[in-house]
Amino acid sequence: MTAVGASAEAVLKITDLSVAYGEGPEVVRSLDLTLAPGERLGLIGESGAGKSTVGLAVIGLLRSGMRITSGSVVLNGRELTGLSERDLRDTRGNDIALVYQDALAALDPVKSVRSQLDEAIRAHGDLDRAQREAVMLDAMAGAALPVEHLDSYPHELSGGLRQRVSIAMALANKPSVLIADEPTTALDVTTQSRVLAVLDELVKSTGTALILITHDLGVVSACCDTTAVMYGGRIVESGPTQEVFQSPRHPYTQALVRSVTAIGRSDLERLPVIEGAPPAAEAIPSGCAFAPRCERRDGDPLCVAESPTLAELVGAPHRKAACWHVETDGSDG
Amino acid sequence: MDERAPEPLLRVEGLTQSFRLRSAGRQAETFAAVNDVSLAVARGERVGIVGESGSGKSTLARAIVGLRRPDCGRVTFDGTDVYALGRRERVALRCRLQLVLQDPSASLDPRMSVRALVREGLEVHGRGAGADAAVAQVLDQVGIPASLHERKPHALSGGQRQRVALARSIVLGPDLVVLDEPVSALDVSVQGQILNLLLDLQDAHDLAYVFVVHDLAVARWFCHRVLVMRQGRIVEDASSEQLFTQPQHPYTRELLAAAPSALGEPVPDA
Repeated sequence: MTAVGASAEAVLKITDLSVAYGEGPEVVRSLDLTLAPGERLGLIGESGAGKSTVGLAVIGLLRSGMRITSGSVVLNGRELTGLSERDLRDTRGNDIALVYQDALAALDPVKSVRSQLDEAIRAHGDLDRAQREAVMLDAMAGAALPVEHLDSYPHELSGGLRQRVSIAMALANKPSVLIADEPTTALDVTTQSRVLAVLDELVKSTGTALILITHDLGVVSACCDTTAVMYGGRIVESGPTQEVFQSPRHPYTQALVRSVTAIGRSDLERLPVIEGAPPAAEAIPSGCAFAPRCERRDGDPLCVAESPTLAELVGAPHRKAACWHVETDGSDG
Repeated sequence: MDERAPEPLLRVEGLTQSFRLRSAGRQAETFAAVNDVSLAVARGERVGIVGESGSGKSTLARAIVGLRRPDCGRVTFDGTDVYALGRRERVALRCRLQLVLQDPSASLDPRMSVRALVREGLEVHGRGAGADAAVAQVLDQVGIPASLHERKPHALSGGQRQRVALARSIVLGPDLVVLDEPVSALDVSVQGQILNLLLDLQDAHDLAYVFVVHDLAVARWFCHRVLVMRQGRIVEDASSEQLFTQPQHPYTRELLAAAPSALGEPVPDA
């Protein structure tokens, strides 16, 4: 364990977290992640990488059959793994909240915006009616939700407005961490940019730290300070967003960035591609999960034999990578 | 006739497609999903249709391939008025006019093997006899190895399923393939593979594509020409180069401004 960094004042610290499906293989493997207050972290990866599972594990909402097999999740100095459902429920919404991709599924179809917001506020404090009303209006203003929608039902709202309702609910109690799982994936581009602006502004004004889970590198590039790239249940690279995208070090990040930027070049006859497909969560290869698709591996038996650990880059300790062929403090020699 | 400009492969004129909204007791209201749309596609051309959800892209795509008779307007394919044909001729025309959808797991019969799925279209069109060689050849072209020919769709990855869906279309020998968001459901690292494959197939089979897509970067890279739809109408029709460097319509400018830029500065090749 070399990672220290900002851990002293970290609002969220995940250490050695592993999640498995039943007795089956692990879908998240020995994951370390630290979030500073107010930090906006982009957690990116393709399907099956385990990024949504990390979010659900942190907030204690893993679907049945999934369980944390090892590791710790410390929020504001308090260990969350092993908490009772009752204590966990108190933490959720109060200290940590989640916004889903599909706001329509997350909202109650038979309750008005007002009653859902009120419920969220009432669940976490002893405020009287007038105080709750004030918090509610504050939350709506923060989420750029016009008051006229207060008595609307979810089906009467557009996708963008619905997502703003769930953002208002999530941030009403000013949690110290917000996890947003593909919050704009289902939205049109013009709506997406509006919702991202709302999220960005709200996170800034409340000081809430954000974990933005997405497959969209453009979204992360636009609104995250730091980025962690997941592949096969592990973080393979992390660091300040612009540095990670400008000079990616892990072969997977390099290939991903190359394919995304190539599409902006009209002079290319064909796109550079990563052969194959990302592994399914239940079939992650042993050793380095990316090895079967990696160009840099060059037949090195170490890559398939042993999984590289995420370690600080030599000369750039604020950046990390997990690759036997990248010079890190974790690699031997 | 020969001296004039060549007739486009596909010509759509004044196409309107309305849907009835629930009537509140009185006069039924209608909603024009596609409103007086005209366009042309030349042989070998790749034409993109971009726009937000509800702009009418997919409704237009279905009308083009002859799946839904428009309220008014005309679709002419290679000189033939598609909706003036009898049912049998229209079905026969479908060999030359194919539609590929976003989600192949919904369009592929889960009980059929890859081989049977690709064969099915040939059988429907009475070309089943001796089809094995054609099926094997097209599967090879789309990059599905023989070891996967007996698999069912659920045992394939998303990218492989889309390859099979393409094979089903290509095997019939179409001139025009309408692609409705064919890469939107795929992982970033797989999207490029399918886009490259589409170009390879175009070269091999002399195809034209109509490509319905919400991702502007994909439209720009892939298409010769792009149409921008909004509320059922085409608001701009220009070459990709022109549309993305000198957008004319305010809505096009708004769309371009909202799209998250790829990644800022281009990254030098490693």
